[in-house]
Amino acid sequence: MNDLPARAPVVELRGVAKIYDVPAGRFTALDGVNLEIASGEFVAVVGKSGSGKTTLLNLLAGIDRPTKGEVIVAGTSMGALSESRLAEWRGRNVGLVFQFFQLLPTLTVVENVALPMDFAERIPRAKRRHRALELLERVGIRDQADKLPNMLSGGQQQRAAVARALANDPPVLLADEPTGNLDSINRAAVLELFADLNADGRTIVMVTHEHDARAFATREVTMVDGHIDAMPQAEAGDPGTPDERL
Amino acid sequence: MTGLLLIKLLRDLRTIWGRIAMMVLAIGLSLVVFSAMLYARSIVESQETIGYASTNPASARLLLDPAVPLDQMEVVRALAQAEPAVIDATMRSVFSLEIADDAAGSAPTQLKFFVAAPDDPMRIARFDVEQGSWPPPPDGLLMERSALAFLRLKVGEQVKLAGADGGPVTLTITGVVHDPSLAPAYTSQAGYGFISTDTLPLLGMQPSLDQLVMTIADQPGQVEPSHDRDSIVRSALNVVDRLKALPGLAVEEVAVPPPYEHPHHPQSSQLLAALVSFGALSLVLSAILSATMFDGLLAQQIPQIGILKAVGASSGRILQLYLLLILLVSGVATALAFVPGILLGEAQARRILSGALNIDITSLAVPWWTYGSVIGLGVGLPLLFALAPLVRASRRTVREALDDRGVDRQGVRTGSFYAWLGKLHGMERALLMAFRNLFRRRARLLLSVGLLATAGAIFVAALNTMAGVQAIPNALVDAHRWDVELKLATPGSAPDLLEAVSGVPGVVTSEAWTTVTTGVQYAGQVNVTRTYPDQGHGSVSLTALPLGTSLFDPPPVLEGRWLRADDIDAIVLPQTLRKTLPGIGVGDAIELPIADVLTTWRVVGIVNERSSATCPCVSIANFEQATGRSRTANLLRIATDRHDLESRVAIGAAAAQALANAGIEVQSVRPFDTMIATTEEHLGTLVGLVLLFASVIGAVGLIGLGSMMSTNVVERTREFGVMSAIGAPAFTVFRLVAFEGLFTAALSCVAAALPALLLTMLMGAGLGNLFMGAPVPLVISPSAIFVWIVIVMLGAGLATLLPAFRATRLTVREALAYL
Repeated sequence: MNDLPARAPVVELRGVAKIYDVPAGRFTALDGVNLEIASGEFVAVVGKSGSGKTTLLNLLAGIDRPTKGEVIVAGTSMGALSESRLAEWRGRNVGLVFQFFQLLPTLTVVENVALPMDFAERIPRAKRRHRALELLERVGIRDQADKLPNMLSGGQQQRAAVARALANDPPVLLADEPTGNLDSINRAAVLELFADLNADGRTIVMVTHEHDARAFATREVTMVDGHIDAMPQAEAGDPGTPDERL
Repeated sequence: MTGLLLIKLLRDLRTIWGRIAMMVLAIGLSLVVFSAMLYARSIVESQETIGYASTNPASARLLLDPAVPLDQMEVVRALAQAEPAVIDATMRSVFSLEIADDAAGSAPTQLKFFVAAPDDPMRIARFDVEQGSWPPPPDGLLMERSALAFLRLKVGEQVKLAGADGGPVTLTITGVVHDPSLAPAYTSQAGYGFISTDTLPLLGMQPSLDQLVMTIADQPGQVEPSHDRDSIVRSALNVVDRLKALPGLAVEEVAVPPPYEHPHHPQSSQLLAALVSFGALSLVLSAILSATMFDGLLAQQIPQIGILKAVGASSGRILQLYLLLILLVSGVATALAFVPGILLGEAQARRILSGALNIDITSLAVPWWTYGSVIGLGVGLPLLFALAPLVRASRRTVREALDDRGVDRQGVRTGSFYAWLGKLHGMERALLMAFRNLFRRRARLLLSVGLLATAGAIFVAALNTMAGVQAIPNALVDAHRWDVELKLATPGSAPDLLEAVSGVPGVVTSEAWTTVTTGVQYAGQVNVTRTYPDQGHGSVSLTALPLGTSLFDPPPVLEGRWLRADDIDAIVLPQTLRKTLPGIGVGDAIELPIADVLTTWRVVGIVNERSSATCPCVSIANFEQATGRSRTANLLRIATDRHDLESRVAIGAAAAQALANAGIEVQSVRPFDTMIATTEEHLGTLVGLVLLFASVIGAVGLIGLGSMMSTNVVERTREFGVMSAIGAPAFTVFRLVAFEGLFTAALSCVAAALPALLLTMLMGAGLGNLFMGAPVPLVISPSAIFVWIVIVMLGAGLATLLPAFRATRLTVREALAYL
């Protein structure tokens, strides 16, 4: 994992607004959002549908750009980066986990995990497969490494997606409804995995609207109509231990 | 490009091999046609030049009157050699006699004799003796190779001729020559014999020669004949001046064909240019098709592009990945097309060289740049057309890519149009959805409809042109109303001729015409023509006809007018004659030597006539006035009461017998069907060419439709899952996909209508002028339109069948999880 000063804000949003042009007119998804997330926090972003949760996550991942304001993640203000630089930056600094896993169907599980390493070129080529297998071991699906994604269960696919998100050891893990497409057993397993990763000091921002998922977070950020209505459950920078949260 | 991306690419290829195969097939097919035509053109041009130049053709020929006796030839030759630019000179002669043993009912066959002195050094206009030896014995001849095949004769066999004095002559074929400067015998419908002056007395002629043939350089002292026709004409006219030193010797014509150019070069060159253009057109079309298909493949890959970018892939890497894919497709297509293209090109070159130019191939080598062009275009053109969708896809943001649902941004703004569709009463919901789905990807719809419409327009235009070509014989039937034509051995009294056949059963009407072979030149000028040694060019058949004829409709007048009763010296020319007399127009005067009389005519009209023309035409009254002949004719045209071939032949034979009974010798009897058959035979190549155009384009268009439908289904897999999830039966999904295919096909048919009409006119003008000197008549063939509509609708049905079936086989889970 990248070395960042402990408890320093790894995510900062300053006066961020996001407005979309839609056929019905202009839609404000986020409006004047300010947010700081310290290194090592596990933040659950919650709220009703259309409240701006996913938009917030997309801005953090550099998938979308703010209409107004500044987004700084892992020390980089993303507004100045081109699309290509943004992709490179994302590969090195952010791990993404999606609700529908989004594994590439024609690559095996281990190849899916190794792919971000090829893009970032941080890890020597000879060590990439080994590291990918280590990550699969970590998420508990080492034995599925050489299968294609469609041969895995939903829970296994999501674990593979988490392993892929960890490929380049990014300081921040962003997850959009990671358990939304899983049954209760797999849901618990994935959340425990996130808790373990957070216990190792990894910063996690997870969009969810599932109550049991919130229990794993150190802080809850509630979105209401594009604004943050934050009621922290714990002090930032004091994530506690997974056992305490469970 | 990372190793894993390469693995992804190869595995993706495996999953979409069907569409990749169609892309390879479309590009490969077009590339085979294009490269074959390019290679053929290259081989033909080089071999034509080499073959023609190997005969050391004369730069100029002076037609002398009277012919020069053998003992005075050296004087004439020396005068020519005195001209500084003349490299070499010799005397030759060319004339025709009719083969006497023709079967009745067919056209009399001419045998053209090429005559040289026995001691001619054969440095100019030489030929290869392939069998026997030169010179042949006085009672023998060497026959040109292509003429032997045309006349179905063999070495050792005898040829019976009507000699110059009308008496029968028999010559033995003692050998075979090959003369690459002559067009194949069948194209001129005449045989070629090579004899020495020793044979002339046997043919009833003096041992003399009437052509001074010369090779002429640009500058004195040069040994290479000039490439500049103007320079050759200047030197030839200087020789004409020098010959004035010989009293009583006149120069009738200065024949300077285009230097280093085979007599059939314009046709072969234009034909090959048309074929290469067609090949290029089909290549461009298939490149557009592959771009359309590639756009579809990319549409399917867009969510994956989003994932790749989400995990750190830059636009450049994405671009590399898909560039490699299209390069792989075009590279494989080019590799597969390479050898078939060469083989087809060589076969086509052989066909043209031996079939149209009478030239043996000495080498099939083509310049390296042609291979380079084929590889460059085969690989580069699909890439070029695919570049825009490729760059667009690679530049998509992660969000755009992950959110992609197969709808253009503009698509969601067409609310009112969509709403209006919904209000249409009685429209089935599946139909409605299919119609709306058409507009989801407008760029692709445009490309697909454009591609199919282009294919349709070319297909229909090609078949329209074919219908136009096939209508030519019918037009001949409409304009020419005689059933049988009897040609007389010598002119006879017109009233006697008409009287003789008037009582023949079956004869309804008969008219006495005259037709004479002549040359055309501007009045008062030395006749400088472009005539080749075979005298095929520049010679013209003049027809003298009764103005009140009921057997012939005047052709459409392009300039001026048709003949009138108050004319004195009026002549109407066909526009094809402008090749011989460039710039000739209404009001110009021309001279026609008819027998021993040099007649002068004023051009009053230019008419639009194709092959098998009647014109140049003059009225019988003006003809008699100009030639001093009175009430004579050598051609009898008869309308019969029955119009089948058998009746025409029978009535023609009866008419010939009636004329023979009246002491009038008939040379030939031709039913009108022969004329039609000849015309149809000549147009066969053109029809075949046009059909080839239509078939290739049609195939490319249908491959395009199939790929588009397949892509549309793949792209909307998730949507079909949703439909199934909410209870849509499999048949509804099937119908939805099938309707879309049919709508697309129908839209393309509408879009093709106007371009098809314009293309028909363009194609008809281009091919018609190339082959017949006049545009093909504009015919809109309902069957062509019907055939294309059936092909495209059936094709659409078949093309959608498999993807639609696949769509119905998907489970909801598979469809919703589809990426």
